[in-house]
Amino acid sequence: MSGQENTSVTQDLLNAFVDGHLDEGERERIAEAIRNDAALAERVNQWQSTRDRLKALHDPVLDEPIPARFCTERNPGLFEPLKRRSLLPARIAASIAMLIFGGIMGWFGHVLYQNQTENPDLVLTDRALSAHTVYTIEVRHPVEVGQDNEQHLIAWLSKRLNHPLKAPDLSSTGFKLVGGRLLPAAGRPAAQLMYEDATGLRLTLYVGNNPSNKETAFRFVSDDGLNAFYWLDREIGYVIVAEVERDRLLEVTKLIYQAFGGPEWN
Amino acid sequence: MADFLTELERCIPYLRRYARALVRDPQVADDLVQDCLERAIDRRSLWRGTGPLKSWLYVIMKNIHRNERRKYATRPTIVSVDDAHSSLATPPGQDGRAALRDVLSALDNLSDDHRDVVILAAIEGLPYSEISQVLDIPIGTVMSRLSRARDALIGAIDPESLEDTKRQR
Repeated sequence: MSGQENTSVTQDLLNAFVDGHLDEGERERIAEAIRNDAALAERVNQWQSTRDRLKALHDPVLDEPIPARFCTERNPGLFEPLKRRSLLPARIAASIAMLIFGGIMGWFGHVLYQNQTENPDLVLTDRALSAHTVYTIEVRHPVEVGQDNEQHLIAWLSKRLNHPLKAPDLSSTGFKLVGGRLLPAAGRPAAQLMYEDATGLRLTLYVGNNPSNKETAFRFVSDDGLNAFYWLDREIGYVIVAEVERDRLLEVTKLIYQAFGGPEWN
Repeated sequence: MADFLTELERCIPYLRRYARALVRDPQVADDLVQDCLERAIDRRSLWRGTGPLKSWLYVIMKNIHRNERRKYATRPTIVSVDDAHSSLATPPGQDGRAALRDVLSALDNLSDDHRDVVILAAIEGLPYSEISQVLDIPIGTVMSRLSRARDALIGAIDPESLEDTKRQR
């Protein structure tokens, strides 16, 4: 075991031996070689004990409680400040849900807090926020079918979603219908209706599949200035997205909710 | 996105250990982890999902540490036993403390190239192919640096034994 080639091959195996990467057979082979060579044994033992010491010094970090600054359970907005500093356009990069406690949602009073990283609703809101970002910036083709063809638009989308849709009248809030389009959502159809106010500010209503198949009251999500309210009604989820303050968005959401036959909340 | 964040969270203990190996001070180490998480979220769209997320995060952390060595330089050549005691595990007994001081200063005294491979191999326990990817060096280079790093470590702790080993060859 003293030739140059042998030394380098052996060294690779020695490292693997010490780091525990060898299978049983190879381990035994190297152990045997070590037993027959005192100098080699000395070197390997020292490599091993150095490794053991380094691990003993650092492994306890794994068992330390995660500091609050990294813990989303205690700190639900954890990634929010990180996200705000994101260099990518925030709306595209991260539709992270930030769930707000009940007090703010006074009108409904049913907001539930959930650990954001386990929330399957994020899939729905992620799609709605992305679709909003992608299509509201379009000047010439923001929608596929315009409001001049509203009846056809609604009939078409309702049929594809297999769920009755409507384009609620939002004129009392300053928004009027621009039109709508069909969108893919994991192989299933989803619908987006786009509204616009006198300043050209756009709002979208996204209707798609709700994977959790449950009912919820209103929930609020925010992504760096882009706000959204959503609710789930068994197999369908509704998401209203706009770059407006929460209160104004809430007004619009109430109207849409009522238009879709939601019960009065008091 | 939700899956990405969940996976990110699972990696945090490992990132904290890696940062603590790179940067001795626990607060500064956690700052490094925070910077790493920020950048990972920043560049989420660049992660193709091939290979473990943890490897990708190690690369990010390694690059931040390298680029901002001044900010993250807490590598005193002598680590006082009490400092080491408070931030890391304490081996029992007087001999243990001497060994503790020795191995950490020996680690500090390695060249950056050597230290990088030893930390990933001995502390993080990564397979050599993964170390090759994280450090962006051929696997042969990983192996030769690792051997030299290990010899340098034991040389720093116990020079006599290293001499004996060499003489036998």
